[in-house]
Amino acid sequence: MVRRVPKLPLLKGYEPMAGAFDEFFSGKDEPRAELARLVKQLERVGLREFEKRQDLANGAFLDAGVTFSVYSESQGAERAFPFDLIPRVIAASEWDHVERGLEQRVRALNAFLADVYSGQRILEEGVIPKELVLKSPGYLKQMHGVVPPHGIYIHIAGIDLIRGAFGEFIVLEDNARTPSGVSYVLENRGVMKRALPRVFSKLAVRSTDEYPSRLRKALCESAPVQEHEAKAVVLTPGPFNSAYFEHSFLARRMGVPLVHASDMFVTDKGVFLKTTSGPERVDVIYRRIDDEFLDPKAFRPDSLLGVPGLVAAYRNGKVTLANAIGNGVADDKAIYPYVHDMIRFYLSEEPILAQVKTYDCSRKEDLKYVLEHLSELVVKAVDGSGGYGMLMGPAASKAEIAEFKEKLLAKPRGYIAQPRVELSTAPTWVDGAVVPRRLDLRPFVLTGKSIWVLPGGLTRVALKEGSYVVNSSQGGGSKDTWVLGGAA
Amino acid sequence: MISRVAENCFWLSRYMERADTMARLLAVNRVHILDSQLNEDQSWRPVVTVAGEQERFEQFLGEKAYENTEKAEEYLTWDERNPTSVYSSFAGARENARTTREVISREVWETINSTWRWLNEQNARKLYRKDRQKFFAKIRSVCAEHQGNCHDTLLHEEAFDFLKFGSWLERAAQTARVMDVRHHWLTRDSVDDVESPQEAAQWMGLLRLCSAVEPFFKRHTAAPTGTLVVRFLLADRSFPRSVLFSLIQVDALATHINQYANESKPNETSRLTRELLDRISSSDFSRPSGAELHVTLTDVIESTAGICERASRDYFNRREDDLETWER
Repeated sequence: MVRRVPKLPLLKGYEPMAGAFDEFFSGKDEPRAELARLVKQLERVGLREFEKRQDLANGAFLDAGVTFSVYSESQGAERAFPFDLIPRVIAASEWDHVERGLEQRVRALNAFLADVYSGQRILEEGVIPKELVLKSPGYLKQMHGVVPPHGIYIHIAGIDLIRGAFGEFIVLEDNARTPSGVSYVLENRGVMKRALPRVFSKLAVRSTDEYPSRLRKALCESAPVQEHEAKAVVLTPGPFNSAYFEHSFLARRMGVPLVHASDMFVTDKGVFLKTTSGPERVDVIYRRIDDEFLDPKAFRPDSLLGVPGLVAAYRNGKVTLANAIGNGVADDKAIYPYVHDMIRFYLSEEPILAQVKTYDCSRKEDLKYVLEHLSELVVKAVDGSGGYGMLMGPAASKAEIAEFKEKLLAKPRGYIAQPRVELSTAPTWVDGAVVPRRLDLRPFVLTGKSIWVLPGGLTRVALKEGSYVVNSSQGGGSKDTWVLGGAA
Repeated sequence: MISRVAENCFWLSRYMERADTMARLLAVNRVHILDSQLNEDQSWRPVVTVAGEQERFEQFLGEKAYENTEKAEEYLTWDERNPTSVYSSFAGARENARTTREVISREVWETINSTWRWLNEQNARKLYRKDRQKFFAKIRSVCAEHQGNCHDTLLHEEAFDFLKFGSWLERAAQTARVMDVRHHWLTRDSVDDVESPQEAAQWMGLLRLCSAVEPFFKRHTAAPTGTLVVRFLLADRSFPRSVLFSLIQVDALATHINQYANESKPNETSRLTRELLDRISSSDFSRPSGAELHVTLTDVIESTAGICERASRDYFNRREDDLETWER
């Protein structure tokens, strides 16, 4: 006779974190209506089996080589980005709202870039302080008057969202240069389907498969030549870059070459690839290299990464760069407080997505407030990313606060401050148990002839207890993001 | 295709072929030492010589280690200081695969990557300690899987051709190297059908080193003699490890990749390949002497190295002034 081993509960008894919005449960053992079905399915799997599936998922990532390089360790050390098998779920109606909000925001940011690099109407009319924009480290004077093909600046945008105290979506920051992470979205989905096929199939989850072909289309649509004859490439700094896996992944899935700068050269006719059969013309470069390393002739003469003459070819309209050069001014954190004004100014619309109250330290009154309230605020460098160069006031030591005070006084334009927003939480598998952990979301927005938003995006989770930092370099992991609502 | 990527494909497969050859030599030599009554070759010297590693081997381990199976196997399998060790070959293959992932298929990548991970885990070491034959068999089956993956999951286009070009070139040279460490056996002017049992055992050993025992007996019913074995390994038209067979493949691939290069007449790589093939296929091996054999094998080893260099000039590092001339 077969004795049945009783199933250990997985989510039963899960305690939401006090003071945070939990996306699964409104209270202990009280799943939210949209999540009830998933909770039931996961409970069916049970704890023991779940653990096995989680192990299987971890192995799948390593086998597939879905890794990022860690700079601080020996050169070329690779790690898998920790993956949590419990998905993050967004209801269809919520997503509909987010999608419209993202599209609106990207349209406004693109209009802002077009304006700032030409007539500067928004500055002339005093909607955004002129000083703030023209002194932004992301504003590149030499790009003034350069109009990229079809006027597209932000081909690929990553707009970071969090969910506030009531579950409402709030924009935390914009990434208009080279937002990364989309490869994890697609790989996570693949592993999820392998590890929990039944659970996945019980819910109508919107597909993410389209991304590579949508990206390729957006790139070719923005070429200086006809879409059907456009030759696109992905430009990587090389295998030691932390995001090399993603560069390779996207090239492979789009079916375009992955190139190093040294694989290209420029003549007065345009940009060419060095191939086994001689030179081959390139029309669109999805570059994963920062502006200043693109071309040693235009920016840093010491850069070995760049293609000499590339910027001149771009100026002359011979080639499309995605994203455009000079986009840093649009995702400058000191410009962020004005995005709602951009939406009203360029689109004559009311902003759909909320954003976080932001103190601009270059303004005297704001700086005064910030200095007095440092222990309550989060301070960020305007051009920082990856969770570096920031101060988490509520968690900081006196010494750290004192240190930041000096930094702020020395260079107020370099920083902004925001009240710490409580991030939403979701059940997460940590060391053999399910516990609440904080999340954010990076959706990806593509712009070609039209705008398209990838359903969901990259959900990052702060795996350390009590942590607010979701970055992979600092103990973050990721989850598969399920947007419900079928093939809409 | 991008020159750099073509070069990486070329080397990726060379490394895999090298790992396969080394695993085979290791597996065979180990058994060979156990049961042979031969004296002069009861050592690891021939295998180290095939790898071209005498100098480093003696420097790191000393001459005595030629008689020490444990030390020699460790060096040839795992040592990172040895660029031809099984481990180093996989490291090279994996690094080249990593930088060509958008060109090779998921299957090609995953086979190499998961084997690389395995080699770096305790499990591989455990198997190596517990059942060495099985360990080498596993390496060889991964290399076979790689061949299958290339054949069945890639477009049979340029990347595939560079992969195959690399592995056939490597194979032609490897078979020649393996034969060359035994060429002096022929100096005794052996007569075809009169070989002592000891000599026959030697030739069997050489066949084994080339995975050629069963194929040889499908071709010949007689006991292996020097002439028959040499002819078989050098010039059999159907045995997929013979020098001639490998060179026929190299030649065909050189013609293919030449066509991609948009040039109306054969380039230097094609020309050198064809010349080598012609020399080998027109040679008379009815009764070769050891010295003649050595000359021929040296020609193969040096010419394949020359082809590799020339391919680098014709495909991988085309000079920019060439490109610009072409454009105008």
